[in-house]
Amino acid sequence: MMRLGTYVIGGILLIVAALYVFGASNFGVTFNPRDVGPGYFPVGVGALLIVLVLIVLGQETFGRGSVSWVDLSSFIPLVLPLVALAILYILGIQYVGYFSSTAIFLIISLIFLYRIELKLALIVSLIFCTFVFVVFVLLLRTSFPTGYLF
Amino acid sequence: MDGLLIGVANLLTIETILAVAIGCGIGIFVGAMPGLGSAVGIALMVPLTYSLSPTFSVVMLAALYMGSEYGGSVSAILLNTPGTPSATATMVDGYPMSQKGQARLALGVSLSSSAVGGLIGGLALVLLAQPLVGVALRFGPPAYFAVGVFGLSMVAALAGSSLVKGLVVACLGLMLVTVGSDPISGYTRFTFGSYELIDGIPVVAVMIGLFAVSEAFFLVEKGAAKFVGDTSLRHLFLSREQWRNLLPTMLRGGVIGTLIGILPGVGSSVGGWFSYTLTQRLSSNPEDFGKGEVKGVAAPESANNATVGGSLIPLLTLGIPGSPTTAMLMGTFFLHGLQPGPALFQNAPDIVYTLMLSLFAAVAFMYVLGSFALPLCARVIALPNHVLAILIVAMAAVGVFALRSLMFDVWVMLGFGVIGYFLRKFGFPLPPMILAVVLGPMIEANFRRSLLLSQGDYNIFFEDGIAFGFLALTAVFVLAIPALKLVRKVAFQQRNHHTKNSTRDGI
Repeated sequence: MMRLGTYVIGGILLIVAALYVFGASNFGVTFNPRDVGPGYFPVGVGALLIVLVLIVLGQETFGRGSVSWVDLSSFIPLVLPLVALAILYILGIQYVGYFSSTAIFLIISLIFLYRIELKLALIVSLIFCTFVFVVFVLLLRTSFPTGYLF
Repeated sequence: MDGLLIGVANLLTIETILAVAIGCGIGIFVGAMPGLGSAVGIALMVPLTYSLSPTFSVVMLAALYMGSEYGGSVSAILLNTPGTPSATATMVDGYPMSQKGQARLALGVSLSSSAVGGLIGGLALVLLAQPLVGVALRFGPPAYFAVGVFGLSMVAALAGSSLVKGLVVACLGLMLVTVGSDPISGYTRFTFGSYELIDGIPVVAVMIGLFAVSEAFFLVEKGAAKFVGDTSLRHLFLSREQWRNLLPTMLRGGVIGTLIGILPGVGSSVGGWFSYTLTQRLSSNPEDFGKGEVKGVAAPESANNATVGGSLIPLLTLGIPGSPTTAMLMGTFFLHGLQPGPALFQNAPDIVYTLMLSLFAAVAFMYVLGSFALPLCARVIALPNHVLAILIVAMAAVGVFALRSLMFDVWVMLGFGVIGYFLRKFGFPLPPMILAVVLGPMIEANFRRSLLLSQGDYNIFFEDGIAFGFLALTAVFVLAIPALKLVRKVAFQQRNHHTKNSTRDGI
């Protein structure tokens, strides 16, 4: 698992670094240090990243990786649902409104994801929304998206 | 001297005392919550400081840092789960004390030791900062570039088990800060036509995503720890006899913690372990350590609180943060238009000296709050990790949005939370990335200024004595640290091999 994961992450990083170097080279960079332009530093950093990622992949291939095993078994049942709910929550802030989507996010995630009692979920949600309203809206004068609800 | 007087005058205002009290209270709370700690606490609080005065903001966050270093010991002692990484050494003797029904004594020793360590660190900051500023004023662009590279390399080398992986994430951080306007010419880079990126990647959103949100994802994977120990936790003050017995350990831990705190990348957990090991070696009863020895709590606790003052020395004098927590603090300075470093002592001495002196007030508040608010704190830390994780995500979202009122920043935060989760899972340490995000603009700007000054001649980095010194130190550490790790690994394997052979031969 570790080796496959490192190859995936390494592959992604190599692609990102290559695209980054390509993009930076369009900023008018030259390899002459007398002509230091906006692309000079990024090209150097991108090239360094490519070399380092190749070293990491080499270490993994020849058995000198720093971590031997990574447990991702709890990612799908525990973390992925929270990430999905967080995405819906952020979308909800834009379209439904900050306070209503926050309350819905807290209640749904506490009850359905982690089996917290309805009463406790309602209390946590109420306390959190009140805290945000008092601190951010009343004291710090932050205006949140109101959306279709509030 | 004038600066100190201004600091004293500012410290005695209601505003500053309130900032210290709030910061310290929140610090103890977040430190005690397993998985949070000072970096996550500051990350979540930074957006709140946007509308507050710079002095109030930095004083509150420094007090939070101090309080959280003590708070970490509460869950280490009561739950056998360190609230902060720096409290892992405290757990070794603190939890056995708790199991023996001595939770009150362990917490009292932890509180008093933290206070002594905090005072030593604060004193070192006051005494060393001004002379170091005089040295820092002689730094030119090559020296600043070299110091930045040194700090970043040290953190990359020490943050995880692999130097190369540390450097990979440091490079990723440097890549992120090249997004937006170029610091020298103003040329826009990697914005892809997005107006939200013209000012660069939102640094606070990246920090909160990497530290707070990724931590929330890790928290949901863990189960809630069980509360152990007595519940009557009031009256944590030590007797005169206990003070006499423990004071040398506390003082030694304080000095060790201060020195370790000054070094970039080493951090309070190393300070705590170093102090613990040394105390065990010097003890006449080393076999008692790990079984509930009271000095095993005093040594790491004084050291990890002393690192607070120590770590603020390079931040305030050179503008170089040595840890994720001080990087977050540096981000707060930026948020208020302030640049830590020697110029800050000239431009805003009131803020600098108030911050330095507020550490002493933070110690006093920590002592009082730690003594009287602990029963409440001990109850709250039993909050299930799932609830805590969801609250962190919600709090992070509101905090990031409040900064610029842009939903784009909230998406960036969530994206970096997921990236941080996977990077950590696969052994890529996050502290070098945070430091690179904070130090990157300074490193690039000073690198290019140096080359402009020398008309493209790289010898400028070797002709400048300070720059050469720091670059040489960087090379030594980058080469020496993996070599030391390799030697230790080989020695460990040989010892294991020897033990197996001895067992097989029936020795």
